[in-house]
Amino acid sequence: MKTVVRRARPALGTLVELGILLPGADPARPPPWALAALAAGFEALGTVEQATSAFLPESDVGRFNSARAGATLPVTVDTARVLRMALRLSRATDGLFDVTCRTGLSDWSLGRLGGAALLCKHAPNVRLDLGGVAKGYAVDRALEAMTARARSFGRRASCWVNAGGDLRTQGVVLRVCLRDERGGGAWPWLTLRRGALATSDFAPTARARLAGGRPRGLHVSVLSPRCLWSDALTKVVALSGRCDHPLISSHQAFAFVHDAALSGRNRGSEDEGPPVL
Amino acid sequence: MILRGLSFSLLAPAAALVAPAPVFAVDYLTPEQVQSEMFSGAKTFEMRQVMLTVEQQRAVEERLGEPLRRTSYDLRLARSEGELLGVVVVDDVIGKFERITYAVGLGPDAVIRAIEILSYRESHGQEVRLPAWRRQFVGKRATSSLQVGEDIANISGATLSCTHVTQGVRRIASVVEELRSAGELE
Repeated sequence: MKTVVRRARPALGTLVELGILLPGADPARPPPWALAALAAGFEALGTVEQATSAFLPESDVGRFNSARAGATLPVTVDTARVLRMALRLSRATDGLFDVTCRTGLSDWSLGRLGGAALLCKHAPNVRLDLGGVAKGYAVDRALEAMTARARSFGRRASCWVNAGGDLRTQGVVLRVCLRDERGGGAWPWLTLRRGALATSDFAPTARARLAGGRPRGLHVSVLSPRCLWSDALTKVVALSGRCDHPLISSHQAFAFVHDAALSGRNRGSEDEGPPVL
Repeated sequence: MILRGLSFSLLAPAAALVAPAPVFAVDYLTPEQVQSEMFSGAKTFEMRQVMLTVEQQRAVEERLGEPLRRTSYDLRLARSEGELLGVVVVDDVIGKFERITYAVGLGPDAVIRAIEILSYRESHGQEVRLPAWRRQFVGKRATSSLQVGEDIANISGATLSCTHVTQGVRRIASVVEELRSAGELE
C-alpha cells in the first residue's frame, strides 16, 4: 500500500501543491527527509518567483521593466533559462510568441559576461512578462529541488508538483481531472505516469490573455517531458491555432484543444489537420 | 500512450454534460497538524476567541481600506513554558467555484511566519451559492492529509487565482497586529 504526503501553499499567484510518495512510512508522521524535500520544493518556487515575477519591482523582470533604455542588468540563472526558452520559441514562431507582449519584440537581448547572464534593454518602452513560461519552469525547478534534497538523505523521491494546474510528476501515477471553467467541478480526464501537463484557458472571460492575440474561446492542454515546455507550448498552440505545430513534435509533446463545454471531446496532436477553433 | 519522455492514458470521455461535473476535494492538514508544524517548539496551544471592539474594527478597516467580513476570530496561541511563540489563525475563503481553508502563522510581533492550505474543494457554481454548502465548513476538521493507493487525484485547468487567499491573509495579519498593539496576545 502506498501513502503520500501532500502540502499546498499560495505561490506564483496561484495555489501550488507538492506531493511525495511515502512507501512504508507512517503516514501520520512524515519522515524528516520528506518534510525537508517539501521545504526545498517550496523554496525553489519562491526563488523563481522572486527572480521572474513582473509584479515584484526587485525581481529581474521588475528591474528590467523600470530600467532606462541602454541598461544592462545581471540576471539570475533561472531568469536567463526562461528567457532563452522564450527566445527560442519567438524565433521558431516568427515572433508570434512574444514575452514583451508587443511592446518591443527585438528591443531586448540576453548576453553573457564571464559566467553571468546579462539582460540588455534597447528601447524605453519594452516590457517583459514571463507569466506564460515562468510558472512551468518553477514547477520543473521545484521537482528537481525535491529530488535533490531527498537524495541528500539517500532517498529517491517519487513526487509531483502542481502549480494551479501546471503539473509534473516523477514516479507517481496521477489521475488528472480537468476543471470545468464554466460551471465548476472537475471531470476525470487522463492518467499521467510520467512528464508534465499544462492547461491554459483563453476564453474572453479568462485571466490569461494572448499578446496581440485574436480573441478566442480556447482551452488548451499540452503534455511534454518538462513543465516549462508544456506551459509555453499552450501559448504556441493557442496563437498558431495548431495542435500539430512543429514545436509540438520537436519537444516530444502532445497537445489538446478542449471542447468549450468540456464534453470529453477534444482534438489532439494526432488528429489530422488543425483543430477547428 | 507512451511518447518519449512522457506516459499517459486518457480516461473514458465524460458523458454528455447534463449533470454538473463531480466535485474535486483535497484535505492537506488538520488545524492541529498545522499548528504543530508551524510552531514545533510549542508545548501548549491555547484556544482563544476574540471580539474586536468597534474602535479596533475601525482601525483595521482603515489600514486595510476595506470593510472586515467579521469581527470575531479564533486564535491558537502557541506557548512554551508560558512564553508566547506565536499565533495561528484558520480561515476560509470562497472563490468562483472553490472553497479554500487556510492557516496563517504569525510571530509574537504579528509578522507572518507561514501560510498553509488546509483543504481545497472545487465545486459547482450553484452549490457554492447555497448557504448549506457554506455552513458545512464551519468548524470543519480535515480527516486526513493522506491519500491511499495509486489513485492520487490532481486538477488541471486555467490557472486558479489565489487572490482570495492573499486578501484573507492580509486581513488576518492586520487583525492580529491590532490585537498585539492592544496587548491582547499575551
